[in-house]
Amino acid sequence: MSTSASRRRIVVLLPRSTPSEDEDRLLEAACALARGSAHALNVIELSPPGTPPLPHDLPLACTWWHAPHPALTQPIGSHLAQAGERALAASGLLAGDAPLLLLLPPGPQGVEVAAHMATHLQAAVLGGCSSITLDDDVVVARRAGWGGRIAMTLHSDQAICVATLRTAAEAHAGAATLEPPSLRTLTLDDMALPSPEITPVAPTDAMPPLEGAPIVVAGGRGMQGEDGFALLRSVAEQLGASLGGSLPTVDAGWVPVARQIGQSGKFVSPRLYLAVGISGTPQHLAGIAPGTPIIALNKDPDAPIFKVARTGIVGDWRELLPPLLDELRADA
Amino acid sequence: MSMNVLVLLAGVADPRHPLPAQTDTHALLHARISHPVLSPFDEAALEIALKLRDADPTTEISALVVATSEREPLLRTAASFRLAHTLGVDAAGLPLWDAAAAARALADVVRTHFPQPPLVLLGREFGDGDDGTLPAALATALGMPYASLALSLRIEADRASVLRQGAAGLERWRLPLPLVASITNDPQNRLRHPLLKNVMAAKKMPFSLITPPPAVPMLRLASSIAAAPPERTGPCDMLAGPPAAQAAALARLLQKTVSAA
Repeated sequence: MSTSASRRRIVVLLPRSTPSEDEDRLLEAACALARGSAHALNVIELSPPGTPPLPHDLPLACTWWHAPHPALTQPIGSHLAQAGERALAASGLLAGDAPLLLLLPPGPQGVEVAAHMATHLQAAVLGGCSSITLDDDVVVARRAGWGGRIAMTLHSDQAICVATLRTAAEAHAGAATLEPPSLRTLTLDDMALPSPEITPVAPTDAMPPLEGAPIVVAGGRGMQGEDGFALLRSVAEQLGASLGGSLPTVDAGWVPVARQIGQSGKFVSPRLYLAVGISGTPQHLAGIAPGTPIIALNKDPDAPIFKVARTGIVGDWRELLPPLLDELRADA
Repeated sequence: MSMNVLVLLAGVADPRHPLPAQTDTHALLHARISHPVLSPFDEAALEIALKLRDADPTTEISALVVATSEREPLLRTAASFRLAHTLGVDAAGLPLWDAAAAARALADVVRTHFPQPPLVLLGREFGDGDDGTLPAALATALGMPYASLALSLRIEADRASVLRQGAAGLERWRLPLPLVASITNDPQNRLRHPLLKNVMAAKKMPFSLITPPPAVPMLRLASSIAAAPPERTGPCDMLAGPPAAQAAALARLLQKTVSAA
């Protein structure tokens, strides 16, 4: 492993930035990578016109490029990707011979924008990574595969590498001296982009979203049907919690896909995760922040979930949830 | 005029079977050969295609299946739904962890063997990479518009009407064909059972395996090891006793968190 500074330039692209823990962690990881680079950190924030920039104070010098454009009014992946490419060109970050590592936030939008941009730019796309380091100019990325059962390490020396990054580390805002970035505004060329006609569909699900929920109540295949999930929903409502499910429960139609937690679904980082009838497959655990305390209720004492839970109950949810609901209602 | 739908199916190593102790690429490919299954996302893509054929029986469905040989069981699984064409594409030539390279190779196969398909469907994750990159990369490589995370799709004249999971909730996109759509799992997309006569017919079918053009690698898979469970601190504190006592203790724990939140 080399100890000299990498020539690789670190650029973070925030498509329609929204303050979130994922974004904080991404910026923190990008700062750590930029410390090992010969170049300053650059952040490009794409946004619809009329939206003010949301620059973060960071522990090192950074140029924060704000790139508003009318085509970004709707969060369409291909539009964001084209805007990102134009912003990279307009900022001059593609000029010169320094290789580039472009980092995007995790989640379906970041993944899609990364894929479109990488293909257009003839770049390597590293996928959804859990950690990235630099070895000279080589990007060393780690990510899961085979349903979370395999940890892959990927190397790339391509001139441009693109990745989404979700680190397991807790964000440490305030731990270092922060300085405001140098704010620059980019004027992007017109983009004549075909847009689909988009109609929002009225939600039928009144539960709070998983994103940002302080408590998540989640069920697995062990709930055995919609009746079990109705009971879980009541527990969640009583706690003001959000409701989630594992992949098989979504396949079965017990919860909508927007509530799927796991490698193929949402990543949650609540203060408490109540897992009921969830065995604890790597696929599911990959969707829960490592720092989140898990309370597990499962009738199988050997279920892997008990190896990662802080509190466990071996029992049948049919016998546990009704009195739990009574207790919660009595104290409401 | 009939509509052609191309479904791309990657398959995964059956999660009900343990992976080999040795987890190098060769061993993982062997695990895939021994126990290949369609992923929930593969199944959803195939079911959406079948629903389009239900709605318009002139619709022709073709499948391109990532396969390790002409005898790959997934080729027969796909063919048992009475498809117009079922072709294999050699898994050895598709490094699915390198989505950009694999997408370019797949795009080349599609252009050569299925010129100008108006609709290409594939699962939101393609293969064992646990990653949604390849479908979007394929759309870009084919130069086709892309709709991700589709729960359902219907054709209205020359347009597709796609119900998809957007960042802020469900939304319906209407857009002209051609289109690449990645399909997510949904109870409406659970793959139906094939008719027995079609299963029997598929057993007798010969299949061919296309060798994709050599992919120019962008990434090197340096290692693949069994994933360690997430690190958690401390042992699990078990709540014992009869269900009523367990429920009361659990309620206290939950209320403590609610009060602190």
